[in-house]
Amino acid sequence: MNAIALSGLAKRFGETWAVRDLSLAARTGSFVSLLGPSGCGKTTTLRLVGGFETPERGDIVIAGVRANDIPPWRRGLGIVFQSYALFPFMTVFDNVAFGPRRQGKTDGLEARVARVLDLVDLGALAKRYPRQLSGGQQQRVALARALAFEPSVLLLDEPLSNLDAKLRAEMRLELKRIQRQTGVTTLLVTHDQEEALTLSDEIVIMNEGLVVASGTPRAIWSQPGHEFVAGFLGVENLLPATILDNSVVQVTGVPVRLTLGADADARAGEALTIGIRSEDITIAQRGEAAPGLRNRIDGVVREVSYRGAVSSFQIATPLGEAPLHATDSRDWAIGAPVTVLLPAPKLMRLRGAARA
Amino acid sequence: MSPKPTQLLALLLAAIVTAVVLVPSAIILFESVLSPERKLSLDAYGTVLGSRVVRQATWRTFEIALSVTALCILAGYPLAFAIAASGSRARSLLITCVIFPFLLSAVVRAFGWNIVIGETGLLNRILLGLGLIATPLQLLHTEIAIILGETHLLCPYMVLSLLAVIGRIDPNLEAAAQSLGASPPGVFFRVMVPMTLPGLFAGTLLVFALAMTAFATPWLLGGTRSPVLTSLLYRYAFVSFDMPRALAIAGILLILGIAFLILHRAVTQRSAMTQEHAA
Repeated sequence: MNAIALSGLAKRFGETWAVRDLSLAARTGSFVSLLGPSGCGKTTTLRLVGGFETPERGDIVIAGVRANDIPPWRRGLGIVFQSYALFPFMTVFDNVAFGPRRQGKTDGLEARVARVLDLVDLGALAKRYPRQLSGGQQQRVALARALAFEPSVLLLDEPLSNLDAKLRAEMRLELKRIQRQTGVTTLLVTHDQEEALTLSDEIVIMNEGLVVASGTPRAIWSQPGHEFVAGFLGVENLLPATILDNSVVQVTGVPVRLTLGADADARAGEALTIGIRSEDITIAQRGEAAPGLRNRIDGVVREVSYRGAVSSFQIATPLGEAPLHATDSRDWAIGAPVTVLLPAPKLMRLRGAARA
Repeated sequence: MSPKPTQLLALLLAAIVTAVVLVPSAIILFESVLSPERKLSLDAYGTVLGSRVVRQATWRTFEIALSVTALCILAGYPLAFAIAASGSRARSLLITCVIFPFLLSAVVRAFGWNIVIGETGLLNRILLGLGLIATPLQLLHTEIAIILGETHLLCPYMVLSLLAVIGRIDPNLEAAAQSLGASPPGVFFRVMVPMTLPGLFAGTLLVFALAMTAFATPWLLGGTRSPVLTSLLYRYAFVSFDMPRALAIAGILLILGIAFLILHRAVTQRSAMTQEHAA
């Protein structure tokens, strides 16, 4: 069963459509992320689910009930805001107890609050005020407050973006643990791909108010499907090309053909974009690369940036004016003549248009 | 070690406050407890408090200040929240409307109220026309007229004090409270009121103090039938030149003001301790 199902959702602000035609579903107990750049409509979607905005079209179904006309205070959703939105004049205990009190769940309130505070590891701080807590602790209070009344769904709006990198990584693991422990269906809104990849069972990528891709983190990572998604996920090398047959493409504007993993549906003459991540490219001394391997291209190293375990290289090739981005653990000097290998299984077929 | 510029400034401010506020107030209090023979005596206070007119005026002053403060809170909250919720252009227009009474002279304001609540004024004509009353209401030269006039004048202080704190409230607080099950009245009383208490306290202090010491508005709208302490003070000091009584009334006003200030501080600090507002 789906804890949340959105169908054909649309929301307009003035002349701009923030959300155009959005459908998605989250199975009960699953962790779904809405991932996209700022302005893609992900936060509007969350506010529509929360009931703080009214959709122009479409349905919001929460736990099997159409919720379009249910006001926010009766939707039973736990929400963690980017700013945490803790009540500054209340103790941690009163913040967490606010939800259960409003909803008449006051039997065994102390035990209930203690239980959620233990869940987020804040048992000892119940009497403190929010301003006496660190950012990470405030974040945990916000989470405890949202979970205290056992919501049907937990909505997280960029919950980790106000924390520093180390704390963010720590809280990511915490979030995953808490979600597993409580089993609460969670909808996360984020622009951070790493957050979405590590936390989610399913990622929904949005752009300009539409879903452009969705799937498991693994599927999205290895086959983004769309140029926009690939670019957003940090695929550095994107090459326009035309299909020749089901495994060969002609790179646009240059006399280079690339061999890809076979695709039975490929139609000759169709335009597409080929993508490859920098770490999937192999660099070899020119002339050293084993002969017979396909997708070998000669080039010259133009830029080097040392990044510790590996270095990044920009390599000028006949593939186009833009240099190829590649990484290698070896150190290549600027000006070194090299041969790059683009492994066929690592080349992604991407549809060019940003929108599906 | 030479003092920092900020310390010098604080010192200067302290000197100015002492010179123009504390010293004159002390002189008034001191003079009020001296008999004409320059001896310490509370006779003047005995005389004025023995007079029914003064006792009534004291009570009336207090009653008016309290009513005006209450009305300013009742009118100020919706006004402040409406202004805070409006768009930037509407907001500046609304704020101009709210502070408009400041731009009018007391006489013009009083004349305006004459037109509205006078014997042949707008209100009476409407009520007579609707058949709700048979004879015109006597509102002018009553406490009601003073309360209306002062609320009109002092409400901006409340609205601006509240606006200052409302503007700093995280808009997600309302959404958070709603998501936790608080209906709009619940959000207002359980979140917005506590969040705006510092503004409410500041506004209350300003409005009450200004209402207690207002002179022009009660004088113009209350007439001689409903004197307040300031109008009696004027009468004794500048009409009958009875300085001992004038000083005693000034003393009563000062003491009431200080008492209110102490009470206000106690409430504010207790709330600050129990509520721990983020600055």
